[in-house]
This record gives sequence, C-alpha cells and structure tokens, in this order.
Amino acid sequence: MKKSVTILFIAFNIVYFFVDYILVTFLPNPLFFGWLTLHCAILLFMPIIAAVVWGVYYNAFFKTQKQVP
Amino acid sequence: MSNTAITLIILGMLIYSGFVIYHGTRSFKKTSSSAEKFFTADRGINPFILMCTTAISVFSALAFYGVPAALYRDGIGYYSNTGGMIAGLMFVAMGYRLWLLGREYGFTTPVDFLRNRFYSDTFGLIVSLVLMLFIVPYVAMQLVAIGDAVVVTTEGVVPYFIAVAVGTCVVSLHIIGGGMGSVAWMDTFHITLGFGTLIVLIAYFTIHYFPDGGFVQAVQMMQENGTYDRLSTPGPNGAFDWKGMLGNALTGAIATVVWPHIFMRTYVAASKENFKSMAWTMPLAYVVIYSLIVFIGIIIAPAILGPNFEDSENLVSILSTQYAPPIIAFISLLCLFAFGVSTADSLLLSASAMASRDIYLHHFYENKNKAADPKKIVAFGRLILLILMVLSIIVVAIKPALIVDYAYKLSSPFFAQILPCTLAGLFWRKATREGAFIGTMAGLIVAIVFTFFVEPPFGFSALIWSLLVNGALVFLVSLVTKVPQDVVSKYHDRIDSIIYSGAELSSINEKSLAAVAK
Repeated sequence: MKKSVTILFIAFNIVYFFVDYILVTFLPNPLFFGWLTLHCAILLFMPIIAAVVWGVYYNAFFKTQKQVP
Repeated sequence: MSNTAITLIILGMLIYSGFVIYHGTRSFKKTSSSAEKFFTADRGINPFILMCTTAISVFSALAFYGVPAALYRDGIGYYSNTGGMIAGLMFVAMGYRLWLLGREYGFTTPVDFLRNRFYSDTFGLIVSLVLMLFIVPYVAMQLVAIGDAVVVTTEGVVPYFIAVAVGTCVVSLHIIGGGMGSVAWMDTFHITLGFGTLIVLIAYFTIHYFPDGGFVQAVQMMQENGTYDRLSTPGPNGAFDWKGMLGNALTGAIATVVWPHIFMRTYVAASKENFKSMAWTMPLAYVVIYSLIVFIGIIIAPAILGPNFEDSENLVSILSTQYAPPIIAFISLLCLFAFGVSTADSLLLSASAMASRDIYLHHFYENKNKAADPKKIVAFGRLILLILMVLSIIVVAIKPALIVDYAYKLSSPFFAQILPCTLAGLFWRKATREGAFIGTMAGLIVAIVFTFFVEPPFGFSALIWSLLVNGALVFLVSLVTKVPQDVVSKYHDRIDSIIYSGAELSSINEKSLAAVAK
C-alpha cells in the first residue's frame, strides 16, 4: 500500500468520526422529505459512505496479501 | 387477546425452542472429539456466515427492547452507541492480525493472546476471571428481556420464571450440543429472522397507523404531540450533546470488538477473504438492521404513544401486544428471541472456552507439561456451560430495573478494559507485561469508582475515564520497563514479516488447542 493512500484513509476516518460523534450536535437540523432530519440522516446514513471507503481500502490492502490463504 | 391466540403463541414458542435445541444437539457427537471443532468450528467459517454471526452477536435483546426505549426517551443521539459502525473497521484492523496469530500459534480465546503476548499466567488468569464474571450478568439481561416479553405477550399465562428457565435451557442446550459451528449457523438463521420480523413490524405499524403519508404523517403527528425533539440532538432530556455522544460511542461501540464473543470470532475465519468482505459488509449490515430498530424508537413509538408514555422499558412489547393483533405480538417475540438467543449463546460459549482453554487446559495440563485429551476439554467446556446455565437462572431471579443501564454499567466497561492492552499488544512492540497489568487493573478500579461511588468529572462517562487512565498507564509503564526480545520476535517480527514482507503463514495442526505456544 502506498503511504499516501494510508494517510488519506486515516484522514478520512478522523473527519468521519469527528462529524459522526461531535460535529453533528452543533449542526442545524432541517427536515428533508417531510420525515428525515439532518441529524438523523448523518447518524443513520453516513456510515454507508464509510463502509464504501473501508471496503475499497481493504480490498486494495488484501491484494497485497497474496501469500496468505 | 383471546385464549386461542395465547395458546398459538405458546405453541409457536415451543416449536421455535425445539428447533433451536434440535439444531444444536444433532451435531453433538461430531463436536465431542475435537476441542478445535467445538470452540472454533475448525477455523472454517465462511465470509457470509462470519458476517451474520458477528453482527447478530452484537445485536442483543437490548438492541431490540432497550434501544427503542432509550431512543424514545433520549432521541436520535442515543444512536451514537453504534459509534458510526466503528466495530466493522476495528474488526478488520485488529482482527486480521489476531487471525494470523490464531493460525500461527493456535489461539482460541482473548486470553490466549493476552497471556502469551504479555508473557504472564497471572495476567491471563485475572483477565479470564473478570471476563467470565461479567458475562453472566450480560447473558442474564438477554434472558430477563425474553422473560418479560413472554409474560407481557402471553398476558401472564406463562409465568416469568418458567419463561426465563426455558429460555436459558434452549440457549445452553443448543451450544452444549453444537459448539461454535452450531452457534454460527443458528446466528445466520437468527439474523434473517430478526431482519424479516423487523420489516413486518414496521410495515404493519406504518400501514395501520400512518396510512396517509407513512413516515411523513408520523412526523407531522410528532410535531403536533410534542415528541418532535426525538429527531434531533441533544434530545428531550439534553443527554446527547457531544460529550454524551462520545461517551455513548465509546461505551456501546468502540470496545465492542474486544467483547469476548466478538474477539473469538476473529479466530474462526476460514481465510483472509473474510476480513476483506467484513470491512464493508459488517457496517452495512449494522446500518440496515439498526435503522429499522431506530425507526421504531424515534418515529413509530413517539407518533403513536405521544410524549408521556411512562413504561418505556416495555415499549416494544406494549406496542406489539396492545397496539397490534396477536400475530404481530408473536412476530415481535420471535424477533426478540433472535437477538437475545444469538448474543447469549455466543457469550456463554466464549465463557466456556475461556474456562476450558485458559484455566483448565493451561493450568492443569500445559503448565505441568501433560498432554490433554481433546474429548476431556470438550466435556469440561460442556460442564461449564451447564454451570453457567444454572448461574444465569439465579441471576435472572434478581430482576434488574433498567435493562440498558444495568448491562452497560456492569459488563461493557469491564469488557472494554482489555482494549488498550490488546491494541498495544498487537501494534506496539514496546508494550510490556507490567504496562498491561497495571493499566488494566487501574482501568477496572477507575470504572468501579466512577460507576458506583463518584460522579465522573467534566461530564465524561466512567468508561472514558477508565480507558484514558488504562491507556496512559499501559503506555507510561511500558516505556520504563522492557519487553523480552523473543516476545517481540514471535508476536511482532513474525506477523509483520507475513503482512509486509510476504512470508508464508504456518498452518496450525488439528489439535492446536492442546499445542498452543507458551
């Protein structure tokens, strides 16, 4: 794995968890589609973005592990 | 509810119980001869089954009953207990190394790793006892939830004690029969059952109570009845500002991976493919299932029940029995069984593995250079399961008041105390026995003091303080003490050479439980 990719991955996670644990409580809370507030949207659906990033990163990482069954 | 409906619900429960017990006991003979098969399913769990068994083992009865209740009381901020699905990331980041160590040295339990990496039998013994001790109340919580729900759903026809006794026997006999393989397959059935029943519950309540717009109508009702604040942080009671969110994430999520039954699942993967897919499937599984639970707590319940519903602990069972027909009550009960049984069986199996591996095998055979018969290890593990079954029934008789608070106060903070030393032992070659021992003991003491005797300072939870003290001491004490070179070679150089330099992985033999490296 390139060092720059790992650094980007770590930076993404820091930003993601900061938003998810802390920043969300300071954001305004508008209502979308008549039922979904911004706070709910961030907490419920941002992990989907995280899952995609984690999946892509580890897919690349495990390509380097060819010797492991 | 009519007598016929109650009779049918009881009949349904008995059929379910019979199925679970049959599933476990049918592989009794096959698992009797090999401890490796009984405790790790021969390290052959495929990616889909591993994802299912890990995800559903985290979702306990607390998730189905306690979480909607907590969300109803405190709003969406309580969802921070998933920690942004960090467990998925940690399972891969830590789990891959643990899996390599398990393959290389035959590790089966959390204590196998900690005892060997920190070259201390005493440390291993203390950690085993602490983990085992706090598994019992957590298992008891699942059984209390099941017992309460059965009583409410059958309107008291099935007494509480009978319900928990039957629940305990179902869980225990299922594991005694089939071990890890049976647990993993049954968990896969349970996650499917849990997901399906949640969909049915939400569909019923939405169609029946919000026919003109679904969730849009429900949120309008919330705006009118004064429960709209459930959809924002910090929530109606102000509990979830950023400090509350952070504390809840640490308590409910960050330490999840070192809970003994989740930790053990890092060893049972069939190949590296498990970890590759777990990186995205596990967080997605959490999102899909947990979102459904959240909708019950923050939208359906507040819209239907309004702001002043006092019996929030029984929110789901009351919604299912008093606001829905008997078939929905039965489905709700099945869902609770799915979540409760899957967590209880996994925890009990991990307690049995620790008692058999870390205490019986290690102290009575390995330390005396005696060879152990795998059949005896399995028999001992099964005996421990029977003892734990009786203990759980006794603890359940002392019924706690608030399910979530009780479990989190007692069990989670204690399980979490092995997180700093596990992380240090995996990723920091300078981590020493003295650091691990002092850090973990200090963490336990701080957790006890701030949970029961002193209000934790600055609004942070007891767990945050205990982990901070624990982590700081692991680091500082390790700096002034020295780790033996052979430990570094075995647990760091060797694993690094596999991960970064393409070295071949040794394959452990079939009887690794008896041949684990000292």
